[in-house]
Amino acid sequence: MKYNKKRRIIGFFVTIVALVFLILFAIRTGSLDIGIIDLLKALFIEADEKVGIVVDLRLPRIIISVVGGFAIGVSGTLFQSVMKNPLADPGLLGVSSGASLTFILMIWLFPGLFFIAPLMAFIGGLAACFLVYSLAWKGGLDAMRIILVGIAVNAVFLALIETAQKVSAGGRVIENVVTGNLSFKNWNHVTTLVIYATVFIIIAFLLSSRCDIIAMDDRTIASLGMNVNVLKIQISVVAVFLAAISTVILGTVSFLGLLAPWIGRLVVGSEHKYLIPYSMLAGGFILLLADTVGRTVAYPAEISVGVIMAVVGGPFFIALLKRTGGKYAK
Amino acid sequence: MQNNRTSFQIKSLIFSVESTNIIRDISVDIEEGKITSIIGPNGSGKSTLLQLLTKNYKRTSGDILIKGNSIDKIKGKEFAREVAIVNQDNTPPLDTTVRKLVSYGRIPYKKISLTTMDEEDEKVVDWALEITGLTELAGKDVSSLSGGQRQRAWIAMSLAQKTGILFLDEPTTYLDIKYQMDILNIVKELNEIHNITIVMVLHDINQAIKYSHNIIAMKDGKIHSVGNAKSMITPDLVEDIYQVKVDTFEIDGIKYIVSF
Repeated sequence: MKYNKKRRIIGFFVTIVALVFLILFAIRTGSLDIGIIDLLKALFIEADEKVGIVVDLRLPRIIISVVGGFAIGVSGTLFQSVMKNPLADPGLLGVSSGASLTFILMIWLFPGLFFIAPLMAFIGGLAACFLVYSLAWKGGLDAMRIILVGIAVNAVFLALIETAQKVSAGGRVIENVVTGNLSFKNWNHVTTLVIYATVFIIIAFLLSSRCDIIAMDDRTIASLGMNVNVLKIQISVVAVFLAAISTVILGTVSFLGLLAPWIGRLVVGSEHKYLIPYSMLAGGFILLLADTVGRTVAYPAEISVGVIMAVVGGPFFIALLKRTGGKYAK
Repeated sequence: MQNNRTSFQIKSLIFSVESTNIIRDISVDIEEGKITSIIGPNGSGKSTLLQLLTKNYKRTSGDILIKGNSIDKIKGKEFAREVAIVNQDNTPPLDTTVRKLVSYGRIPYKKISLTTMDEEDEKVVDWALEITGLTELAGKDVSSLSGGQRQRAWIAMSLAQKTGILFLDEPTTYLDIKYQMDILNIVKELNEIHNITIVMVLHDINQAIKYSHNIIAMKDGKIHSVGNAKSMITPDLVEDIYQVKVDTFEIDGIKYIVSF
């Protein structure tokens, strides 16, 4: 077997260590330089003003990057398993922009209902997913057609988001949702994201054997007595929720859902009980890296994480399309 | 007309897609404990018939009965405990060992945790691997196997379903002659030793004559003729179905066909 135990263990170990170091690096890098020991001292022994700023401003965005990256990495893996195609990504499929459009409309038109906004974003993401699936339906769900329809639907949603933004005279919140800006995140955002993401990532882990099974032909799955559509919907719902919750907190981040499982397959192989946790780690690492680069590379200006991911992810998507186009095109 | 020796009863079966009839009024019984081969030219509806019998396609009208019960009444996993099918052109899932693939055949016996295997399941998987000669290859990746080995792995998965009836859609297509023989001998053993009713679509008429008890010959979505495999195939019948002239030759008293 190509992906033996040793290779997997090394893969997980290296990635976890790299993630921990990146988190530590991100904590101490920025307009205020603090040492890790100072931070730990301030957190557990005595309060320090400088450290307090870091804890209030920098720490939330670091946690959000990592956990949001976890959610998007897992979401992308689930979408790719359902689509049986490594080019599926919640951003490209219009799921994230559908969630974000719903979220924007909610907070613009019904600002009082902010607390149920994540739920509405989830419903918006589901609706977008359903719209794409049904537009792509032609006697069955062909993955290539889903992706093409998804790109078109995504473009429409992005235009509507921009319109909503202009009409509503550009509130700060809306701008953050659109471009994936991680400034101005506080501990409330952290709590919301961490609770929802944890629950749904655990559900995703429990679905890992179903994700393996779905890699077989639909008729073979059906011949084992399973309802293929129910299976696809189960996995899609979890994937949509993870994409929606991360979009609400982080904004639209494209290509991360593509990149994380792609790296995962290289390192730990296609078995989902390894691929899902690994893609989770890879997603968190990449997103935190993108955010850290974004806030340091052009300091004092900030480049949003959504922009960084698009700049890196776009060319990567094209390369992946060229490599796998022949294999996956029908 | 129903008797204990009937496994499947097909009654006035019609299947149409966009008002074109693909299967045009078929009625036939499939005998229990026997090997039945379906032959016919490309596009005659052989594979479609198999997909209808295994509930993969939904018929337009007519009825299909298993031991007197309509297949509509037998749901999902219960049906998969009665009937197994090995399809054509199966995509091997990546990073999946032969043993893992075969163990998927136990899914019809599972409820929530689909891949938790108990002792009984492991025994059945061992049995399926042994019959198909895959015991040595159990730890290998399915995608690394040859075409013939892979076909055996799919058969083993179906066997793990422990059904009384097994359908095979062109199990020997794309295989070279050695692997074709391998597969057909496994099929024969399954029928003779393990008493599994076999229904398969075959392209090779002589293989159908040699390896089956009954043959269903199809043409244009209808049944042209049904009968004893060892005696029903004649040059006239072949010409009628395939529009080619053939000669016959005899081995051990059974007539086979040859064409040039």
